[in-house]
Amino acid sequence: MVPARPTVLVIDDDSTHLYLTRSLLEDEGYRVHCHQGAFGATQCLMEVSPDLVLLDVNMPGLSGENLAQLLKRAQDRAPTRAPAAPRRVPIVLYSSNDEDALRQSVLDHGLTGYVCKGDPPKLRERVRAFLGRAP
Amino acid sequence: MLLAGDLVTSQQSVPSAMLVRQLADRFFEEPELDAVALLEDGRACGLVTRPKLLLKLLRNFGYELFARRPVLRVANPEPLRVEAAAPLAEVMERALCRPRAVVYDEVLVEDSGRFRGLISVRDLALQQSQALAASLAQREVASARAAELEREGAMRARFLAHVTHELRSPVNAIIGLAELAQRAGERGQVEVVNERLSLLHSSAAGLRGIVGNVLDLSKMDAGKMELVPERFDLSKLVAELGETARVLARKKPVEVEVELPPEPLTLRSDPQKIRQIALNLAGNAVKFTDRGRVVLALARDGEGAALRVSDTGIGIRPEDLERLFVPFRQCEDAQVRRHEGTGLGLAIARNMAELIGGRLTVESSYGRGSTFTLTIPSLPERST
Ligand SMILES: Nc1ncnc2c1ncn2[C@@H]1O[C@H](COP(=O)(O)OP(=O)(O)O)[C@@H](O)[C@H]1O
Repeated sequence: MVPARPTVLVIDDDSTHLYLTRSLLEDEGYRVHCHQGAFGATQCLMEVSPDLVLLDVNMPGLSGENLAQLLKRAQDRAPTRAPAAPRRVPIVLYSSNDEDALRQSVLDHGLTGYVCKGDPPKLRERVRAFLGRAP
Repeated sequence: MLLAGDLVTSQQSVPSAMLVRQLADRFFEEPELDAVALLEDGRACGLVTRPKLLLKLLRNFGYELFARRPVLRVANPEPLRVEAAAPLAEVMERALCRPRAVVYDEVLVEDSGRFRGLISVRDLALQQSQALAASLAQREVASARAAELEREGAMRARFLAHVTHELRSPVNAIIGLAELAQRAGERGQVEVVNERLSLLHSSAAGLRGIVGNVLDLSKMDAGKMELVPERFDLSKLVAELGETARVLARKKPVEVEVELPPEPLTLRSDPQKIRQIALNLAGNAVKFTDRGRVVLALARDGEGAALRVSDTGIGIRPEDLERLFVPFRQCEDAQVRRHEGTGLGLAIARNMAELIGGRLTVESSYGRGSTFTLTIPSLPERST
């Protein structure tokens, strides 16, 4: 059986950035699900059950870091649908912020990692690395 | 810092050979005389204070006993002596450490052994407590100022972080979109190329807007924004703005109405600045109103005019009203941004309003709508 293509959930409030990320990752062969804005993102996470979450940091209403906490908690509470894969979905910050600030946020909030916006090759490389496999 | 010499209020002295009777006469004749120093060759060899002397003379046979003696007999031969250059705090300390029996109000001040005068401990205490109060007040002012500077510094740092993010975000979008457009081009997907180019275009336009705002703000911050006054018809300008607002509201059930005075409203001001302020107000009014009306109302106001931009939109919470005019007002509460937009528009608008000599104020009822009012004075001829 061929494993399904990995799904990436992208959460961002900026529609241009959503379009951009979707196009870049789809070109690579990933399945991409976009969610605009912070609200409803936890719901979306449980419905989509992606293999990786790319999360913008600067969103109106709820900071990405806080949302990341919510996402982590939502996963802990959800009944594990696939007992073979009880692993938490990696959450990666994806932002135009300073690299230093992102690194700090990742450490502070126990997240998987970060990618700076504005560097498509780096995005491809990191997503592949975080997923641990090619699309 | 004050020194002992500065507090000298009396230089009263008598030769040490003077008779007690003579000195007593002086004390009787000069009621404000409190004490005298006894001098020998310009050097103080004792101190006589009024209470001490009178007490001695009033005792039984006191006068008979002392009247014909030299004053040295009734003097304190070892009064407290301080150097004129001694700091007041030191004098105070020494004055308070004297044995009880020899505590007088007066202290001898000398300059390398030569008599300079007398100071009173009362004056000293008064002076010291005033100095203390002043230094406390000074310290309080200084620490308040330091706190303010620190706050300003923190605000600036956050401002910079914010600007940086606001600039980077569209730049990153532009870079990504350019790459995507290129890829689509290589594959010959003309429509996809066009889609990506038009997104790229609007990202670049947004970036231009932000850069313009930041430049405006820093120009105003440095006091470098110039006023270009001319005489013009404000009614016409507002009518044009109304057209622009209608275009902005095209896709919403929002009516844009323009109310103008019956005659043309001509005055002298900077039309460019007014247009920018009013465009921001009208733009916000449309942006934050989902249905209803946006009204641009122009009226005469003395020599000048008042432009009111009101809407039936979401309104503004009372506690947010003044923060609107602070650049990136959302900075205050952590990393949470409340709305889209850079949050610079109103800060710039208020600054510009002040530049043209007017005022920008806001009234709002949360959930029902807002009214921004810009007053525009007519500037005097040939003044800027
Ligand atoms: N007419 C209005 N109705 C409701 N809220 C408004 C209105 N105008 C401005 N605001 C509030 O003030 C904020 C600051 O506006 P502004 O300085 O122009 O910057 P922005 O670019 O964020 O719109 C807006 O984000 C909005 O929250």
